[in-house]
Amino acid sequence: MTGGVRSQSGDLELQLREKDEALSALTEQIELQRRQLAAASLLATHSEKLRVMGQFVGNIVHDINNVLTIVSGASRLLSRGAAPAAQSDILRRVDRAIERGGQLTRQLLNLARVDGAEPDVIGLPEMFEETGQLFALLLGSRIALKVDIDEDCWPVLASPGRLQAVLLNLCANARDAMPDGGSVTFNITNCYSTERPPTLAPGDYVHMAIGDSGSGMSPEVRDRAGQAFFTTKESGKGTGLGLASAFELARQCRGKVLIASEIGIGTTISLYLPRAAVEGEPVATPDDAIDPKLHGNATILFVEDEEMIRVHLSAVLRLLNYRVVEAAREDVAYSLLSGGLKIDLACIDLQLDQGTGLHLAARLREAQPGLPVIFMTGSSAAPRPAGELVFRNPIAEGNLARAILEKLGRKPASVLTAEALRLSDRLRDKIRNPQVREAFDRWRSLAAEAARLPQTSEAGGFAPGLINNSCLLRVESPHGEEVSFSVLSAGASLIDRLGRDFTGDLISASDHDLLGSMGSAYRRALQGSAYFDYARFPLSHDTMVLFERLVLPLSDDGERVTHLFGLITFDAIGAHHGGKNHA
Amino acid sequence: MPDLDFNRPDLARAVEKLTPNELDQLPFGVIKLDADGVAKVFNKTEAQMSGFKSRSALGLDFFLNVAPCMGKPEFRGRIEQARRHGIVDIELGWVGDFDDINREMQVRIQSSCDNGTWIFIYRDME
Repeated sequence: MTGGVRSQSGDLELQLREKDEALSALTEQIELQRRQLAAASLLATHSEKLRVMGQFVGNIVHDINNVLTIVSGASRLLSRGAAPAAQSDILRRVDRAIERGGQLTRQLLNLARVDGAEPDVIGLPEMFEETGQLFALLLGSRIALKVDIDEDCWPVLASPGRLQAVLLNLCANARDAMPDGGSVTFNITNCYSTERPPTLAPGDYVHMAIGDSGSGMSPEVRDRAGQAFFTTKESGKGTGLGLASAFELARQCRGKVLIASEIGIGTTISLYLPRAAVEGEPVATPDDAIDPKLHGNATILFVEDEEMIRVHLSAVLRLLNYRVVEAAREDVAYSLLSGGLKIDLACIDLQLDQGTGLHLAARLREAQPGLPVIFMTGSSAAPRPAGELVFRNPIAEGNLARAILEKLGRKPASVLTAEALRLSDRLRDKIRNPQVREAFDRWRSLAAEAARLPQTSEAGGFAPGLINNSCLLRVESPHGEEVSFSVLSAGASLIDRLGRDFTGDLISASDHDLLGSMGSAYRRALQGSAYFDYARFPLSHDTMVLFERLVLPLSDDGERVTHLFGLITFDAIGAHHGGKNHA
Repeated sequence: MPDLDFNRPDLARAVEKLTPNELDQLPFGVIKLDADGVAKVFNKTEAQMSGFKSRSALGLDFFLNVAPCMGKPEFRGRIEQARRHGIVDIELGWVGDFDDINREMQVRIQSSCDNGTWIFIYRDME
């Protein structure tokens, strides 16, 4: 009997082992196929983009030639000795031409870049700023392009390369539908769940409508338009994959494509993509939105082997009152630091002639741990080092200036990142006072909703029941020797607990006037995250006091942390974490 | 590694039963100060995580020579205040270590059986 059971158990074990082996072989096979599929998908997106680019290469060359014509004309005029009054006009024209040429090359590099097929959070206004000029070039001079994007347009989650390819394809379709010219409109708007077309699943969407004034489609053509390889164009003029790629993108992103078309009137393709929960990357800010006082008072090491770029960008940074030390080579840059130079930030070219940017950054960080670094590259093919900020040439000076402020910790990213919210979320479960936790939730939900820090006017709603335990501080002298805070208001319970009214006082980051320093809270605030600390100590042999302090960053200008909102509570709790009574 | 819950109410009593070798294996920092604030125990975990590394902290005035940053009123002040009230049993939590502004710290301070003070430091190393 026992022998029979043992034999049965042995059989079962053998069967289990065989199934295990088969399962792991299958898993390996699936993983291999998944990787092959991802590689193929990446290649398909990239070649689709290059195919579209090929359609308007002539227009691009024409535009670049215009830039060169203006620059060479100006050079001739200046060398002939143009009148001093005319010289500044000529240089202004050169500036404008260079700016346009720079924009164009930047957009082409963006388009030619091999993006991962993985979805990313995309800000559509920024995407159009990056590649918008290309749409006009694709349409040609006989078709007018009008782009209208909601200022507060939500971000979407999609593969950036694929979305660009889809929009360019839709644009090319619109152009082909208007051989005698016409107009194309891009309307990008937020579509609240309550206003969504009935065929869409519940949720908020971003609606991208691409309309043309072309020949329109018959109902039969419209019904087949999303099928792969279906085309009404002559052989060799269309692949039939343009609109199909829009349908495929919508399917991947859980969105939808809707087509409205009327013969002789035109066609509007509506691409609905779900709104992304939060934005990922900080977006560019107009130069004039940045307080110039935030700049200066720091030493930047600028390492770039291209002399023109190095000299120009160093001059731009000096105009912002930074001390800039230039180096063209890795060994020179490193010897500056080993010679005793203390720097606050390094801007490093990734492809130095002698040495590599990454290697240099690692050496500099070894000498100066935690050194903030901004990388630059002129190559669209250069891999982006993980977790690093990389600018591609030509660099928009305003964006570089903004990134420097962020790296120096003088301003938070204007758009809250998912990481900042995640760091805040980690604190939530530590908060024991339910009203304080509720205040955190309200702050968090406002921040996630708008992907920005809430304003002081919104802080009143965080914890209506804890007004007496709240305080509002304004951030003063955000950079310089030491940050300080003006106490704008302090609740009655705090005044009672602290023994005096602090309203109107100026406190430094290291002062402990508000039951602990504000320095750590402010450092967290600069990255857009909340701060929390607590202390539990005995009041009597069977009662303990739980002190909790939550500090939430606010921004009234949408750029800097302008205020801190604090909630400070004292609760009596049982000696072993039980039975909390609110004091 | 000894299985010891950082949040158990009688953490000091449980730690007092461990050998020096077991103390070194705990996943959290352990420091013991005598009545004068001199470090008598400083386990390996704390030495590594605090950056004190191989330097010996034993015999040094903790708040003066080992962790002057903990000599702040919200830390040392609370310990001394509690000592004046008799048995020390304090828990503190905050965000931000000396090298990582996002590290979550949890500190428990309890009286030792010989009139000294235990300090237990848990760092969330995510």
